[in-house]
Amino acid sequence: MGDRTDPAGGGIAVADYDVVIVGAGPVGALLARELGDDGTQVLVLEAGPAAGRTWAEYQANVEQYLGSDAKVPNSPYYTPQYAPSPNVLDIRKLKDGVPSDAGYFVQKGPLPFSSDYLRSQGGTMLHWLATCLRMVPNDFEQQSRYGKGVDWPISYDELRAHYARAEFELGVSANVEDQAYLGITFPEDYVFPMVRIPPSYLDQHIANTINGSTVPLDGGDAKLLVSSTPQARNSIPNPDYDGGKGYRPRGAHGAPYEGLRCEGNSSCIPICPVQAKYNPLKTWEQVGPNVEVRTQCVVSQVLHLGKAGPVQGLEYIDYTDGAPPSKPERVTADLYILAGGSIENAKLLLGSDVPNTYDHIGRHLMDHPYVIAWASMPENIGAFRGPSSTSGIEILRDGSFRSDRAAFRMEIDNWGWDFCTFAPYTDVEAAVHGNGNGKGLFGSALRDHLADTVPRQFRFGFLYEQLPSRGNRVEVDNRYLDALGLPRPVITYDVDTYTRAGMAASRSLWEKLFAVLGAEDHTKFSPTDPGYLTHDGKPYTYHGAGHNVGTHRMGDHPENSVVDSYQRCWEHENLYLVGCGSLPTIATSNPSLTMTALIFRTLESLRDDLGIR
Amino acid sequence: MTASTTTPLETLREHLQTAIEIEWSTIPPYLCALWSLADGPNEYVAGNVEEVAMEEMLHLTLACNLLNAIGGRPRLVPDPVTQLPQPPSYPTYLPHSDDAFLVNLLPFSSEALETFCLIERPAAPGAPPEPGRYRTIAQFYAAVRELLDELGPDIFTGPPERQVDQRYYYGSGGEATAIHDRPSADGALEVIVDQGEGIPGESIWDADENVFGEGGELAHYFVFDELYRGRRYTKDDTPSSGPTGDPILLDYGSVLPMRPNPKAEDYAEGTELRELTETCNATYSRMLVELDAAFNGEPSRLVVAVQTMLQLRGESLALMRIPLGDGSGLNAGPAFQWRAPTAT
Amino acid sequence: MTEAPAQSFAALSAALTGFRVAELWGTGQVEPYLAAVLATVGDDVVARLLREGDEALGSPDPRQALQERVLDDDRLGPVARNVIVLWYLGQWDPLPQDWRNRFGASPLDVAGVVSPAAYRSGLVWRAIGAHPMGAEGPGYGSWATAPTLPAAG
Repeated sequence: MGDRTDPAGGGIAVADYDVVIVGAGPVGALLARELGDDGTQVLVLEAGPAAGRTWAEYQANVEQYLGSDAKVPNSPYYTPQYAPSPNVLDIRKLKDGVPSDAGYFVQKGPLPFSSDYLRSQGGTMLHWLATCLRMVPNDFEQQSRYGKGVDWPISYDELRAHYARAEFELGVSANVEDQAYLGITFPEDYVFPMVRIPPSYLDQHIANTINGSTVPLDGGDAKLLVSSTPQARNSIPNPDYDGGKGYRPRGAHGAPYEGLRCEGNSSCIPICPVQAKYNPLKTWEQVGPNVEVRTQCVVSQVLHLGKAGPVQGLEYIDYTDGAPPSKPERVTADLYILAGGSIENAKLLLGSDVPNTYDHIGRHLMDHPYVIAWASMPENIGAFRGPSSTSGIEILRDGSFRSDRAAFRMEIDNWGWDFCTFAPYTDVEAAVHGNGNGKGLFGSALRDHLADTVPRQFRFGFLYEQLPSRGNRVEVDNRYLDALGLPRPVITYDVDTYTRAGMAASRSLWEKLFAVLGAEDHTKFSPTDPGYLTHDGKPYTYHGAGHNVGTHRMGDHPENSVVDSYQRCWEHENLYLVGCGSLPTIATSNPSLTMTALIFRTLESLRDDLGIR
Repeated sequence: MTASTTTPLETLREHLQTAIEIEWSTIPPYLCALWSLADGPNEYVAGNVEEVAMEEMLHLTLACNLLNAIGGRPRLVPDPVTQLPQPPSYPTYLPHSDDAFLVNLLPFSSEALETFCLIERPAAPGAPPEPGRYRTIAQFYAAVRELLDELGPDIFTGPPERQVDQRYYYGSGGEATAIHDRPSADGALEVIVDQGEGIPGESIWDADENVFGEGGELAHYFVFDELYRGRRYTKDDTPSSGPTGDPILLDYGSVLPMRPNPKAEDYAEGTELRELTETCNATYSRMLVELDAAFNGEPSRLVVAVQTMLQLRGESLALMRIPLGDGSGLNAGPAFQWRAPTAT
Repeated sequence: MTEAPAQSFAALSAALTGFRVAELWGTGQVEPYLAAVLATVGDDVVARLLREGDEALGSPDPRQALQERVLDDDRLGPVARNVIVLWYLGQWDPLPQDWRNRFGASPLDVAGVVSPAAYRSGLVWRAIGAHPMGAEGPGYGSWATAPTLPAAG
């Protein structure tokens, strides 16, 4: 569809749509619904396939997962040839100076960027864990308070009402009395839509043992408290929600009576079989007739005039797997919104040579390096039950130590050692094949051995903040192209001493906790691990947390940022870059709740621009 | 059925207790039919049978709510002293059905569907209910309505904390609403009757449109009827036209061939099948105990009751996959035999 | 082949896995697994396995006999261990190279989950008092209660 001229014959080009959104993930879904309901004509272009349009189609994804040999986050989902997604199976240990070319990313190092994402309708939120933590107020002022990172152009107080809206949209389960720590405040009568997901038996055991005790950290004594994790997972509705109006949990897309409560299927990542966990398909179901969604359409170019000013249009390639891709088509709109995720947004802008005067696009890429420490309890704590994580330690996420080392949050994980050792598969194989000593177990000896050891497995997962660094970035390079001839993301990534010092602090914590719990430490970090690094002579292996942020950060001035606090691009007034790429720092909370809250702030600016009130 | 000295309020409470017993008598046969489909590809069929089973659980809940609302006490397990009511032992006649037809535990089959149609049969238009001789569930609830009319609005004296609503009751069927007055009672009765039989004589679609604000769902009777006849009802069909839509493809070969009306006593003591069947009986019994508690002032007990029901499903499916090995080609199955819990 | 191969296979599998015969039938996988093993290693090996299994189980010390005649046997041991893994995880592991060299290689002898139903039926989850991840969720709140282990036969 090309430009139309004004039907009145004035010869003025009229845009094809009011708004074009790139990406049908969580951000695209909410924006499309809201703008569509306003009466705006919206086109959404999604690189990946349509997903879960019916309950049966979603169940086919579940079956694919159940039959998968490697149950990695993208395993349930179709990843088309022309819209590849990064896969954790492609992460390699990097050798000095030699980029790794495995899979979709090109990794220049020195360390591998270890997260994935999913290009699909529904986006990466199809396989998210659903942890929904608010940032703490000091997170927005990291530079002023601690001399590290940057300040956000907005404060917690300015985002607070949007957080509440996000908690409604995602359907968050939590008890408000558990969540007011480290300066996080709520309106007096605020409750979450649903009561907290019951803490697991493991959580309760740890809480009973350590709550109120302290651990020596940063030259002082840090108090410990296990708290329930707010999560977008259906639970018992809170009758006091919304001034007593209550809340109706939202079931599955296409099957409203499924998924009204978490059933403990224990596969949040990568797919909740009943959709008790929020996923964007539930929002896509609410989208009205003013919104047109085209899937399997990869946006290939942002058309511009080579200088600051309005974007002129987008080009996209409509493809069918197995067939040669079609020629790019052009579409125009009054407003353009890139919601493809932080790495795809940056890749598209850089590949289109969009003016980037202050050279921030693609830079300041951050993740939460994720270190796991694992151990065995003296008694059965019921490993492999429930959601992946129902509680954690949150009160260590802020403090004066942030002048010197990264803060972190600690997840208590319910699924044994699966992430660390591929338990229980490896436990079975080792027991049957005899651990190399020839005498494998069988029969009741095998069964008893597994019953005795595996249910005692537990682990802690640590998420550390990274500081924004210009050197951590996404670039494009014409030597590395995908099947459509479009550039693949080329990533340069490192973990600095600020973050490594945070890892060291967490080591003090986990060693103390294991000792207090009487647990046998089984943590092993191997130099052959792709994410292996050292600090102060001690080893750590980090994984990616799936939190890709920072590549088009917001700020209060075009010199120090790409977008303003409404996620509108400084240099291109009809272009919004939305999603986690706008976060100027990552702090310690899983970023999805903040990302969702920002959508409601962004809508204020979008509506102004569109003349909607 | 009732002595003339029983008050109308007591009569109403007895009727509602009977309603509860009728509902729980129909649930095990529906579950056996449903679960026998688990390993096969019959999604349309299984989905519809599941919906009916879930709606019966909603009806059970609403009947308990109504009985609690008028100051009564639902019983799902035998009173320790009187040993009443006894959970059904299959095959069974439905309570107060005048022994009209036997209900068996069967795998999904035309025979099962015939029975289900009889259970859900709409009242013939204008058919008056006869005390003690209700030919259909619809007639039974019509008698309940008459008693409510007779008793007036002041009978709703039950404590609100005994009501089970969408805090603890969830899943298909619709919303469980708390009952505290005649309008809410009527709403519940509407759900029960209309989901079951549809509006007598007029429509095959239930009143979901009015009651829950969603698109109309096929009333239970017609769910089973279209499966029995092997053809789908379309939006324009009526009870007299019958189903005129697409044929329903049924893969009977993949239905688990449970032998009808399994019993633990079918197997010798000490055998694995005996033990597994008794374990399943114990789980079923525990579920009834938990449901009884939930409907008697502890609604949060439904959380555990649902866990137990899921366990019951797993144990039942496992039994249904075990060949009897007696040359019949049939498999074992859940016996749904009540086993009184022993004090530990 | 023995007279009732499915029955022999179920009995042998029960002894190898530590679960009861009826429990294995209850997974629905007795016949599918027997068929998968037959297709991969062939009639001869399976016939030998079931015969040795029957005799071992009929002997005065079945555990000892199974160890000696099946698990320690060059030809039957690796297959028996694969059968255990098949039951516990629903997946087939490729046989060791020297087994393939001596007794034959098959294009079906590749690593992988046999089917979604096989994955769901994995005995490991039962053994540890849990459920297959992604299926058979025990219900809201179940993870908050004290863990139990199912009674072994």
